[in-house]
Amino acid sequence: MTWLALLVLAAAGAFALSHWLNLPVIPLLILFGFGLSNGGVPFDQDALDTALDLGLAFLLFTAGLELNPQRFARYAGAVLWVGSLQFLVVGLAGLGLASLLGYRGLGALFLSVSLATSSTLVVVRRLQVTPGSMTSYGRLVIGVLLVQDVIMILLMVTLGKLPEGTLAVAQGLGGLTLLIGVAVGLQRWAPGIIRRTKLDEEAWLLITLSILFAFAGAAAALGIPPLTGAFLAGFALSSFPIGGLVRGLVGSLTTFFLAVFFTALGAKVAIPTWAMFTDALACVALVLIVTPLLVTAVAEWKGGLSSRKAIASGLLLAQTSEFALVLGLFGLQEANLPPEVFSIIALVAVVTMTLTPFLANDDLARRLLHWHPLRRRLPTVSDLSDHVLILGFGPSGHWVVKPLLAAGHHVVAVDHDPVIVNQLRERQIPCILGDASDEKVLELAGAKSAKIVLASMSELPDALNVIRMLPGVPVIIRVFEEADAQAIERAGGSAVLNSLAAADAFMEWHASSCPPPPSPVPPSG
Amino acid sequence: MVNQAFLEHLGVMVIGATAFLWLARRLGIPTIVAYLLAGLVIGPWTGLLDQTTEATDLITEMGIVLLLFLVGLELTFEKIREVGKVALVAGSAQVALSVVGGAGFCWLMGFRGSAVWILGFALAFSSTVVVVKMLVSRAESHTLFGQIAVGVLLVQDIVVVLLLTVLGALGQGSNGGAMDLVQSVLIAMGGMIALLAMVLAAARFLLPKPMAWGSRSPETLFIMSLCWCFAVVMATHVLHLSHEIGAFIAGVSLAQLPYSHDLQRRVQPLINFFVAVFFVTLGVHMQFHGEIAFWTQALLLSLFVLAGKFTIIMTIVVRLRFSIKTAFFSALMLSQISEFSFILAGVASRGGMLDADSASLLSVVGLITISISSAAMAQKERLFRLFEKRGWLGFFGPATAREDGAEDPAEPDTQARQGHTVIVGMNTLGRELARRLTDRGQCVIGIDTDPRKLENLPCDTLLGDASMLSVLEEAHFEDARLLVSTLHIAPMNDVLAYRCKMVNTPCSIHGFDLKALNNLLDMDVCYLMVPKVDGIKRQNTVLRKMGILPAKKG
Repeated sequence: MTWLALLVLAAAGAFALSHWLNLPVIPLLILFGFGLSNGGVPFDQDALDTALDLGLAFLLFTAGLELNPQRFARYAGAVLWVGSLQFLVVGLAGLGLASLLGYRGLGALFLSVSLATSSTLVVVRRLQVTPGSMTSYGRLVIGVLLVQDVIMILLMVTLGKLPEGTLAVAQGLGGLTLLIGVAVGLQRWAPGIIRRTKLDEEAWLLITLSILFAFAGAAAALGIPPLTGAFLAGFALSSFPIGGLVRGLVGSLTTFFLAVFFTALGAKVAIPTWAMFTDALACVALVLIVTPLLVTAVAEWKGGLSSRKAIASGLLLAQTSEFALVLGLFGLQEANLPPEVFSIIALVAVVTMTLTPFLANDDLARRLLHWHPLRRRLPTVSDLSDHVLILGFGPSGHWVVKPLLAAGHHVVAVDHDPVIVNQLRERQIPCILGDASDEKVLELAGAKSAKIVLASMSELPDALNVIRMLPGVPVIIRVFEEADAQAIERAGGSAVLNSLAAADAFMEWHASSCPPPPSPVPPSG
Repeated sequence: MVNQAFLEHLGVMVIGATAFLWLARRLGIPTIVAYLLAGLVIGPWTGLLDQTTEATDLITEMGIVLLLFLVGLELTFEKIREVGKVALVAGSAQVALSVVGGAGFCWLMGFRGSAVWILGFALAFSSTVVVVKMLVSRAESHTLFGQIAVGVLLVQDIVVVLLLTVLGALGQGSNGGAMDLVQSVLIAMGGMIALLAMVLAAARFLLPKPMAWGSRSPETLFIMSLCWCFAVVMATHVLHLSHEIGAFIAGVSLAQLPYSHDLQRRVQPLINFFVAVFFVTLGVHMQFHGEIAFWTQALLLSLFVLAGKFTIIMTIVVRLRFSIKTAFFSALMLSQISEFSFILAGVASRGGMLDADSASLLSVVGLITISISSAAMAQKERLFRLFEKRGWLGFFGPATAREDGAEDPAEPDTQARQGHTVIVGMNTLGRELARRLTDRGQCVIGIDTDPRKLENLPCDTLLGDASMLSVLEEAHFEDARLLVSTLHIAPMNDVLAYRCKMVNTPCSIHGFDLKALNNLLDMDVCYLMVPKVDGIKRQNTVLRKMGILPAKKG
């Protein structure tokens, strides 16, 4: 048990540092594991492999669990375009870079594939902590990750069977298709079954784990890697409401096993030489440059996202995947992959995952917007003075516009969602597609000569930015948190607290629908 | 890398455990018995008996460690003060009387030599894993009988450590004679006291600040706590003490922190997994003989454990002036032998102090007593009424035995909340609703994962992750008048609405994403909060005051 205690000790250090510095925990776990094993702590390789085995099964299960297709059904076309083009283009660029760096054969192939996919766990975690991110671009990004993960399991099957010949590859892919079919069927029908079944948490946990192991076992029986089964088991349980229930059930288990897995993975990484280090840096540069550029272009072109959200998607996907590490371990196991290539893959994952929170933030997306060559511009709308400017129209904006139009005001709107912009244009309401906190967009919308600016923005810095850019113009901003409202008032704007308004409405409903609690019975006598 | 055999073994165990658990739930059989039966059936069928790996052994060991960690997490210093003395007295007296009684019974059955005492000790110990599992799964850890039982088990654990130390020394030939033996025992005792002092000092001075800092991230707090558990377990390893004692002490040190309840809930799923594997493995390793004499001996020894040990514990607890009912439940709970009995038999067998047949005899006694005591605990109230009705409890003394005439201290704080409002998510909206509903005379309980958000609220609060059913159950959401979720996490809101629908609790959910309300509408949410729209209405009021919109007519 000593080795496990040491891994948990290192994991606790990584979690504490992640909490302190607000960094993703995965690269820190790898680093702490690396430090542990290269700092003189002897590790039994069998023990490490045991930790990796269970951790891998849970890792892929968790990744599958996050990828419910319902979340991105509306963006299916764009998802396919972005997911497959990112894989193809970044993969090809990676292959070119690997050749330039002197890697040949399977080493070059593994390296290039590892650069071509993004991390489900890092991205989903990032989306969860970013307010308002589960809208258009968040959903598109989730879909892209599913496409890439499916490509990766196809590759794992293909690469695993390749030495046995084409027939074996075809058999493997046939088996995988069968298993995918079962997973899709379960994904679709399981919610109906679960609603009719009443069991306690212990039983549900064991049923969940049984499905995980049953899929892994079925994969092994079909001659494909059992870990693909673990991923498909997660996918099979991802639909509503099962996905949410299972996440609650296995939350602690996955936290524990993922912590142990990534620390054990770090312990398997050898100290990189200077040459490996520079090679890894070149790969990092490729991921950080090519992925955002490509995703931004395709997301805007095929997904119809606004420039800023397209850039945000590109930046969010600019890291390599845990699947890259899985594939690397797979390569090591099959003895096809030189250990130094695995170290480079791990190094690239550590660096790119660590950089994600710094890259995937709205501030950087806004700055990069100025460099976007495809920024849409509209001819200046004439007679823009004394109008009411609405920033961030959103799905609820119609309730804002209706009374204003009825009162005879000239209304101009700014929104980043092309669907909403089109709807407004159909209603003959002047509208600009763009980022409401972008100075140039505000200029186009005649913000400085507006009678009043009404804004609804998910990010406080955006709201403060608007107030700063429009001195002298009355600005009313709707926010949810009291702290945000106070910051807006301090900056000179007016805040409307949505939460307090909702509390008023709720209490009104409550008073009419919920009878008051029975008054306590007075003691007799 | 992928050790396929390990995953296969684990998979077979988990799937087997699930199948038997499902059957057990239908037939009303206790969970532990289901797991043991799963092991018994799949062991020979799949050939697992000869193939269990080091990894599965590690999982079972972790199950025991985490279980004791969980028990420790429930014991605050106040609780220890309440039951510490009785546990010490009852535990010591129980071990002494059971060993003597068990040894005498074995001698009468024809055993001779060292086997008499080894079997005497083996029969005296009760199973920590079985007892704690029963307590946890029935939410009875905080009951008086549960705490007495755990206290007795801990005393037994200390005796086990000393006994294994002695047997280890004897098994090695005890070259140094009696002095070495005494020295080993003193070192073990000293180590235990030193460790206890160090850990309790840490609980007071070292842990509170870092744990408070980590508590804002539930995952960080969880891993930091596990780290602490393993660190103390390693310290016990260095001091040649049992891992279980280390885990228990680590748990006790964290039980003093305000986050211990949340930690208990987070450790629970890990335990459910590891303990299932533990019991299936135990079932796999149980070996039986076909001879009638073997089964007769097994039945007689089981009878001693079920009746003799029960009587001994019952007598002691009643003598300590606890009520007959508390004594009855404590005794019922402890009426089985322990996994340590198997370990003890194994060590003694290797040292030539016990023959192989006697060791496998203990397997059968284990299966019988664990099964019967688990089943009996499931029907404990009914059994108590039956014993009382038949007058079988008169032997132990008057029905209310406490000297001061008072009832046993605080049997569970299970005063069920009813007709209250549960609010999940203490953001601005959640806090505002908590204040206003409390002002309106409603009983409110607020839930959040961030302890800072639960500060300065006028209502009851619960630190925890509402995606875990246990958190909602602790808030008695099934009996609530209303559940309100103010969260910004759509999948979580969907799940809360689903859970409410399953127990017919009305709910009001924050519909923050206007494009994704389908799931909520399917779940018959009775009031959908849409702050974005409410905010617009309030904004319109402001615009009216500014003269931008015309005043409302009438």
